[in-house]
Amino acid sequence: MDASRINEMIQDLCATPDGMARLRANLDAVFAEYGLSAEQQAALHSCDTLKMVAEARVHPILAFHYLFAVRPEVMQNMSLAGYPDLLGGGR
Amino acid sequence: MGTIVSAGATSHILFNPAPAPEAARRIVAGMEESGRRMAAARPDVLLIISSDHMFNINLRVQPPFCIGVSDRFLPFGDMGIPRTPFPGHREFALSLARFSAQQGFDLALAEGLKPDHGVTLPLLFIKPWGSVPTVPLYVNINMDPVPSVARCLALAECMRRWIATERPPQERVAVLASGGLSHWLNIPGAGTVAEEFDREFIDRLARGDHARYTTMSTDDIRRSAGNGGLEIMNWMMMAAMVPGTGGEKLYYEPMPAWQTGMGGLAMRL
Repeated sequence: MDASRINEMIQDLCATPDGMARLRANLDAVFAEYGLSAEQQAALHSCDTLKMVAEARVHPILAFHYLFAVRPEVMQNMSLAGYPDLLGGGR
Repeated sequence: MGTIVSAGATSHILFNPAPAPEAARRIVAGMEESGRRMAAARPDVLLIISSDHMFNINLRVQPPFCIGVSDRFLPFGDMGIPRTPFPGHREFALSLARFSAQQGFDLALAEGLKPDHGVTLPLLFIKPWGSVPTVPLYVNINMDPVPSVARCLALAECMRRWIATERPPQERVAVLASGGLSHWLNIPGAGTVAEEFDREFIDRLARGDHARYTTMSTDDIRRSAGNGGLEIMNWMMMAAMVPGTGGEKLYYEPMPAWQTGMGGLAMRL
């Protein structure tokens, strides 16, 4: 399976707020635009990062980029939200 | 000649503390101690050896080693890290790149980096923010093939020699390795923490004995510490820049809830 397009899609769209909004607005349309296979689309729809990597050959780190883009609430657990003292920029 | 006045290593994430609040507290305390010691050494510049998490260096262009060349960096802001600019050190970075090029290392130069948590999380603990001009050196563990351990260590030796022979007298350099310890990132084994490996790794580096790791292949590291565990090469590079030196473990916590072993080390110089 060629993974270049699925990784390219994530790199194109998951790095900016505009790209993420476009992705979230219509996942299937974006998947079609990038010519993703049914198997790749199913892996992305699952939001299971292990499955994305194993079955769609998404790069392990890009799997997180995708997850954070479509499920931003997950990012709350992987952030400094629980450390308010650090959020002043280290001052 | 310049002098390495501080050398250490630290993990570079902080996730939700709720699943293990006491361990998270000890980790933060360890990170604070790491930052305190580095600041106390009064460095003129900080060389931080880290990895980028594909916010800057992704699959489009894949340099094995990349150095940040800028007067000022704006953090990428992932993990909620404030996007407060901090100073770089353009001359230091360019000088290192030029010297390395003569020694067989063609470092990719990057002027527009927006450093992610791999650089900026440890910087949160070197207070006040932005007080030490910082040069990020990235080891690209996300590409295939990744740079070998031998290549990383040779670059570390090159950097050590450059500081010792080429930098201005009285220049005080801090070296910080960022990343690790064991973690399996989105591959089978995810959630595993190789506590025994992690503890032995830190203990050996603290004893000034990292020889057993220098002969590991990157596949060996992946097997023992996971794909994300390749970041221990950053630690080995830091140790190779202060040869014959041991140190002190500042913290270690296996954190299955965060899917990683978290550790920190300060070398005795």
